[in-house]
Amino acid sequence: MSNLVIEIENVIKIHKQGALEVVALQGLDFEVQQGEFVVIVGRSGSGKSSLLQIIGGMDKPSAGKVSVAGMDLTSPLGADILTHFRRNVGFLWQDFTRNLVPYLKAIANVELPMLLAGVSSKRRRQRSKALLEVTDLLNRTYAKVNVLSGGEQQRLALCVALSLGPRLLLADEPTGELDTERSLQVYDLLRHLCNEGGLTVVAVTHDVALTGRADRVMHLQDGVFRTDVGARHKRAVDIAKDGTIRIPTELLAEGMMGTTAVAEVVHEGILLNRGGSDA
Amino acid sequence: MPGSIVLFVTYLGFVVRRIWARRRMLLGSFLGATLVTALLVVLPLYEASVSAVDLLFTFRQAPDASVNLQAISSTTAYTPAGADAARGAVAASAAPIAAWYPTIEERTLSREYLFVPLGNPDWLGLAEEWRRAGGEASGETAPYPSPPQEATQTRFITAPDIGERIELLEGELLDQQDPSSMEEPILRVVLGEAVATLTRLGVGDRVVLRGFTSLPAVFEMVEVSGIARPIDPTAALWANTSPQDLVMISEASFDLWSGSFGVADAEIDPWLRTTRGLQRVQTGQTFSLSLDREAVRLENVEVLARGVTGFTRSVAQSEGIRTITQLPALIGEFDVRKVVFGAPILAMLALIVAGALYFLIYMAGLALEQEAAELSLLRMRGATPWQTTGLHLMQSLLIAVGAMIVAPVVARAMVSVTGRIPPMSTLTGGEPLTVASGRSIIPFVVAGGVLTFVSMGLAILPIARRSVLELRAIASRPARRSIWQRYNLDLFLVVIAGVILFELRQQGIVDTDSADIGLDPFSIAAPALFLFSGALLLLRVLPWILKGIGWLMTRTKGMTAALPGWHLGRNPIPYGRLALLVWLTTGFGAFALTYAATLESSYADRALYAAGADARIVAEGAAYLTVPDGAVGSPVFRGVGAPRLAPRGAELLAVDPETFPSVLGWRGDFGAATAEDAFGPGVLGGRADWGVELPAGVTSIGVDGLLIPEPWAERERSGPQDPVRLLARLVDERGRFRVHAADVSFTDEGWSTVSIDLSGVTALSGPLPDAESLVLQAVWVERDGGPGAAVDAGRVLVDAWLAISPGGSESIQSQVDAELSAQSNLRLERVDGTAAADVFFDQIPPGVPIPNAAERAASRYWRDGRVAQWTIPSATRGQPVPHLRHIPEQRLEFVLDSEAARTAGLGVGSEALFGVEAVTVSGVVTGVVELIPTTGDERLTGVLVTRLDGLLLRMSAQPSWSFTGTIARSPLPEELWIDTDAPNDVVRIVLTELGAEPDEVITANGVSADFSSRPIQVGLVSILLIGTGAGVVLALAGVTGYVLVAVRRRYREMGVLRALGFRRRSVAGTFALEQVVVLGVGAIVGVAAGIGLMRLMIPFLQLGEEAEDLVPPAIMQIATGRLVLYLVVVAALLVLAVLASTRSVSARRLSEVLREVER
Repeated sequence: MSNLVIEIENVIKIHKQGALEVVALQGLDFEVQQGEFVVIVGRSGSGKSSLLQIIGGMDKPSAGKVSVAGMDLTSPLGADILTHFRRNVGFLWQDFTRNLVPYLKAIANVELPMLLAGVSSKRRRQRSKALLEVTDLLNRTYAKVNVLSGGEQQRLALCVALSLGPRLLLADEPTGELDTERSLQVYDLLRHLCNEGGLTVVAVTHDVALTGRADRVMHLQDGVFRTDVGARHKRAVDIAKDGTIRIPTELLAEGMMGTTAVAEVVHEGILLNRGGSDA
Repeated sequence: MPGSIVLFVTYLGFVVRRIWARRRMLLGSFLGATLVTALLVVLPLYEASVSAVDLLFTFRQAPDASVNLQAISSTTAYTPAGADAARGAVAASAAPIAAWYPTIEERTLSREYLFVPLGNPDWLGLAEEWRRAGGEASGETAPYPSPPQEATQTRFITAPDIGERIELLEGELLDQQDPSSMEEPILRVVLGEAVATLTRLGVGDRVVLRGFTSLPAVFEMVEVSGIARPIDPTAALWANTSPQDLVMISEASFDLWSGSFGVADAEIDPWLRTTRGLQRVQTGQTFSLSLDREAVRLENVEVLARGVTGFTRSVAQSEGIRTITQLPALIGEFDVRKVVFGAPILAMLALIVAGALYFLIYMAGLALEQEAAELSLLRMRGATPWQTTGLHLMQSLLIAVGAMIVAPVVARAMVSVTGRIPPMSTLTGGEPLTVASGRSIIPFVVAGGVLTFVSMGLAILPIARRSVLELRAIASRPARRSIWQRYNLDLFLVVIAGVILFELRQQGIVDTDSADIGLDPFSIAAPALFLFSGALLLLRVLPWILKGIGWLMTRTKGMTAALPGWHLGRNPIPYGRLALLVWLTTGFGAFALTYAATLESSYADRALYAAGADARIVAEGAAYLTVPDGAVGSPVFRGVGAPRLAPRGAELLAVDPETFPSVLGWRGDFGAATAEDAFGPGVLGGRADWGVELPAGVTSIGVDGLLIPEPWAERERSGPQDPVRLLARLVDERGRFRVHAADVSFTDEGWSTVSIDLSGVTALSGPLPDAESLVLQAVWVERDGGPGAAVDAGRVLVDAWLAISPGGSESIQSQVDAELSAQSNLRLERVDGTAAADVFFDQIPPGVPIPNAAERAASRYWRDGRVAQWTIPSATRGQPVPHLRHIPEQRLEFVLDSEAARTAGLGVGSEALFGVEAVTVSGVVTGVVELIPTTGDERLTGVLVTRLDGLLLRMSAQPSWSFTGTIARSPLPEELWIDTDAPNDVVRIVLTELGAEPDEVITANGVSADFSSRPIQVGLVSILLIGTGAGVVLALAGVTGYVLVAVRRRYREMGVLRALGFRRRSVAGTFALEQVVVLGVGAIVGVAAGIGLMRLMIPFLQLGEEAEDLVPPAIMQIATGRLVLYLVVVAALLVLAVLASTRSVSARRLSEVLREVER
C-alpha cells in the first residue's frame, strides 16, 4: 500500500469570472507522504488557496489528477465527498468564525462533526475530551467560544478539525490572527501530531516561524512550484568584522529560513541552509 | 433512551441554540409566520365576529314585524278545548326561546260579522207579525234579519287580558256571560269607538250580528254594553286589525257563546229558535311573541335563529299552527349579505396573507443568506445536504410551531381590538369585539403552521445542494436573479392571473345564478394573485429602472449621489427583493385606500340615488311646503306610465323643470353631463298653459247667470227648478289645484250675479294659502245638495265674467270664451240673451195678460246681446261632470331611461301616445338617459320623466262632484325633493309645517350612514385598515432586516471608502441614499400597481347587499390626499428604518471596519 496521502499530477485550475479566465494553477505536480508536515508559501494570488481547496475536495481542478488518501477527487464524487470530509481531511482556517460555531460551547463544537457523522454520544464525549486534553483546553470544555482567547479558539478549531480523526489536516494561515507565542503553541501542536499521531499536515502560510517546523517547504508562484528561489533573490549583504550578517526579513521569508541555519563552506563561498538546532 | 431519540434530542438542542443565537434575524421570520397564521385564524374569527355583530345589528334594527313571531291557529269552528290545545302547544314550543321572547300575547279574532240594524226594516216587528201569523206553522219562513246591501262589517276580538287593553269610554265589559244562566240569553259586547259611531249604536242599543257566510238562522242579537278604544293601538294584540272597528268581548264570554246552546223556551227568541249561539265561529287564534331586543347578544344570536326555526317547526307539527315571521327572510338576507360583503373581506385577508407570506419567504431568504457561512462550515465538517436541510427544516418547524401557539392569541387580540377602534367602535360602543371561539380555528391554525413551515422550508431548496465554496459565495455576495425569474414562475403566475381574470369576467365574483348564493373561490385569491404576479412581472423591469436612475445619479457632482448611482446601475438585481417588498406593501396600501374611498363614494352615490336629493319627504301635502332659505325644494309626482301604451308599465316621475335639476343628485355617467341637460326646461319644456290667467291680486270672480226656466205656465204647475251652483277649479302659481264655489246659486228666477271667493281658506279642496297668481282651468255647475242627480238636465246662461280685485274689476269674458271648451257632454253655444225670456214667456198661465215686448225686456230673464248657453245633461254622482275646461294643445315632453326607450322602441324625437296613470296623452321624447335616481322598481319596465304641470293638467281632465260629499282630490305630487347642506334641520322645519306624520323621509346622509354602518361593511373597512397597518409593519421589519444584512455584506466596500477618506456619515449617507432610491421606486410602482389592481377589480365589486347589481355602479375613486399622506408616513418610517440600520456603519471606527474587511 502506498504511503502517499496526496498525489497531484499536472493539475490545472482556471477560474472564470465572466469572460475573464484566470489560471490559478498551471500543471502542478505534488506528492505528500503520510505524516509529512508540508508548508506552502507564496504571495497572494499565487494559487495557494486554490490548491488547498482542490486537496480539500471543495473545488475541482480544471485538468489533471488529484488523489487524497487514495480517493480520486477528479472523478465524479457524488456522496464520496462526504467520506472525504469525514474521514480524510480536516480543515483549519485563519478566521475563527470559519472554524467554529460561535453559539456552541467548546465541547459541542468538537462534538459537532461527530454528531453529523452519527458517532454515538459516548464516543463523542470521549474523543472530544481527549482532543481537548491534548490541546490543553480541558479546563475550557464548557466555555463558550466567544470567551476563549485567540490561541484557545485556534486550538479548539484544531480539535474540531481533528475530531473525526482525518489523515490529512489542511491549514490556511492557521496562525494569521495569533501572536508569536500562541503561534508557536499551535505549530508545536501540529508538529507533535505529525510526529506522534501520523497526521499529515499541509499548511499555507506567510509565517516564517512555521516554515521552520515543516518537513518540507514548497514555494508556489503563479500557479507553479518554483525551485530557483535563490537565483531570483540574490541580495548583497554586509558582513561585520565580528562575522555578524544582517539578512533582510523578506529574503529570510523567501528562503523559508527558521531561527537557525547551517553554514557550509562551498567553493563559491558560504551557503546558509535551513535547519540547525530547531529544525 | 434509544439512540435515535438521543440523537434527535441532541439535534433539537443544537437547533434551539442556533435559533437563540440568530434570534434577531429569526424574529422577522417568527413575526411573519405568526402574522400569516394569525391572519389565517382571523379569517374564521373575524368573519364570525363581524357576522355576529351584523346579525345582532340586523336584529336590533329590524322593524317589529321582521323579528316578532306570530303563531296563528286557524279554525273553522272555534272550541275552547281547541284553543287550550293551541295555547299549550305554543307555550311548550316557545319555552326554548323564552329568553328572547319572554311574553306571549294572545288574541282570538273571528271572521267577519255584519251589523244588521233592527230598525230598518223593523226586524223585531216583522218577527212579531210572523209569530202572530202562526210562526212556522203558517208555512212562512221566519223573517230572519238579513244584512242591508252596504252592511257594516266587524269582527269579534277577545284576549285573556282584553279588559286591560281597552279604555272604556262608556259602559262596561262583562266578564262571564253564561247563556245557560240567563233568563233571556243575550250577548253584551263592547264596540270599538269608530264602529259605534258608524253604526250609531250606543250603550244599551241592540243590533243583530250575523256571520258573513252563516246560515239564515244563525245570528245573535247583541246588546252594546260599552264603547271603548284601545289603550295602545300599536300593541301586538291589535296587529293587522283596525281596533276601533272591532267588537270586543271577554274570553270567557267568547268561549261560552262561540258554540251553540239550546234554549229551553223557544218563545224567548223572537224567531222561535231553539238553538242559539254564534256557532262554528271561524277564528284565528294569534299568539304574538315580541322579541326582547336587549336579550339578543352576540353569543346567542345564532342560538336564537335556530330556536325560532325550532319553534316554527314544533308548533306546525303539534297543532298545525303556522308561524308568521320574517326572521328566516331576515336571516336569509343576512346570509346573502355575508357572502356578498364577506367576499371582499376574505379577498382582502387573502391579500394580506399573501403579502405576509411573501414577507416570510423574504425573511427566510435573508436569514438563510446570513446562515450560508455556517452551512458552509457544517458541510465542511461532514454534514450532508440532507443534514443541513434537516437543520433548517427543524428550525422552520420550531418557528412554525411557535407561531401556531402564539397566532391564535394574536388573532383573537386583533379581532377583539377592532371593536375598540373606529369604525367598528361606533357599533360596539368602544367595547372589544366579542370573539367567537371554538375548534373551528384549529384547521386554520394547522394550515397556517403548514404554510409558514413550507414557506420557510422552501428557502433552503435553492441552496440545499450547493457546494462549500458556493455557500461561501452566497454569504459574501448577494443573490443573482430571483427564483421567480430563473424559472419564469412570474410569467406562469401572470398567465394564471389572466385566466382567473377571464373566469371572473365570465362569471362574476359571486355566483348569483344558483339558488344559494355562493362565493367564487377564485375571487378571494384574485386580488392577491393580481398584485403579486404584477409585482413579479415588474421585477423584470426594475433593473432597467434602477440602471436609468443610477445613470442619472452618476451625472451629479457630489460623490454621495454618484456612488450609490454607480452601484445601482452596475448591479441592480439584488435590490429586487427589497423593491418587491415595498411595492407589495404600498400596493396593498394604495389598493386599500382606493378601495375604501371607492366604497365610501359608492355609499354616498347609492344613497343620493336612493334619496334622489339631499332629502326627500313623501307625504300628502308635502310637495308644496315651503323650504327654509338656503334650501331648494322641488315637487315630484310619482306614478305609473306606459310608453306607447305598453301593457307593462314604467315608473313615472313628473318634475318641475325649473327646480328639479338643482335638487337632483346627478352623476355624469347617468346619461347626461348635468341634471340641467337631462331634465331642465330645455328638455322638458317651459310652463304649461293652464287656461285663463287671472290678473294679479284677484280676490274673486263675478259671473252673471241663470237657469233657463220652464215656460211660465209649466213652471206654475211644476214649481221652480233646483238651483245650481257654479264651481271653478283654479291652479295657483305652484301648480296646486283649488276648487272654489260661488256664494249663491243660479236659479230659474232670473239673472243673478254670483261671486266666487278665491281666498285660500274657502277652497273646497282644502284650505290653502292665498295664491300669488291664479289660472282658471275649469268651471261647472252642480245642483245644491239633497238626494237625486248631481245635476239635472237644463240650460244655463252665463255672461259677464269679471276678475275682481281690490283695485277694481276686469272682464275676462273673452279669455273664458277663448280658452275654455265644453267637455263631458256639456254643449256650449252662443245664444241671444233673450233665450230665457223667450222660453219663460212662451206659455203664459191662463188668466195672465200676455206681456208686451217692453215688459219682456224689463223682465228678470231678459238680457241684451249674446250670452253663453250651457246645455247640461242630467248627470249622477257616478258620471263625469259636464264642464268647461282648458284643453292643452301641445304634446307633453318625456325623458325616458334607456330601458323604457329600448322596450318601447322610442328615441329622441319620437312621438307616441303615453299612458300616464289613467290618462292617455300625446307625447314626444326629448331625451334618453341611462339612470334616473329613486327608480328601480323591478315590477316595472323603465322610467319616464315628464313635466309636472303638463302632466297634472292632463291628468286633472275631469273635475269631480263636490257638494255631494268629500271633494275628489285632483292628483297631486306627494314628494318634496330638497337640496340643502343641512338636511336634518331642513326636514325638521318642513315637517313642522306639514304638521302630520310623513309617509317617508329619506335623507342621502341617512341612507349613506345606513349603508356604511352595516357591521359587515364596517368590518371590511376595518380589515383594510388592519391590512394597511400590517403591511407597513412588515415593510419596516423587512427593510430593517435587509439593510442590516446588506450593510454587513458590504463592509469591504465601506472600509475602502473610509480608508479613502470618506467620513463615517458620508458612507452611511451613501448607503442610505441607495436604499432610499430603491424604496422610492418600489413605493411609486406599488401605488401605481395598487390603483391598477383596483381598476381591474372594480367590475367585480358591483354587487349590492342582496347580490343585486349596484345602482348606480361604483366608480373608482382615488383618494389622492389620503394616498399622499400614506406615502409620506410610509416613506418617513422606511427612511427612518434605513437610517437607523445604517447607523451601524457610521458608528463604527475605521479600524473596526477594516478589521471586518480583512476577514
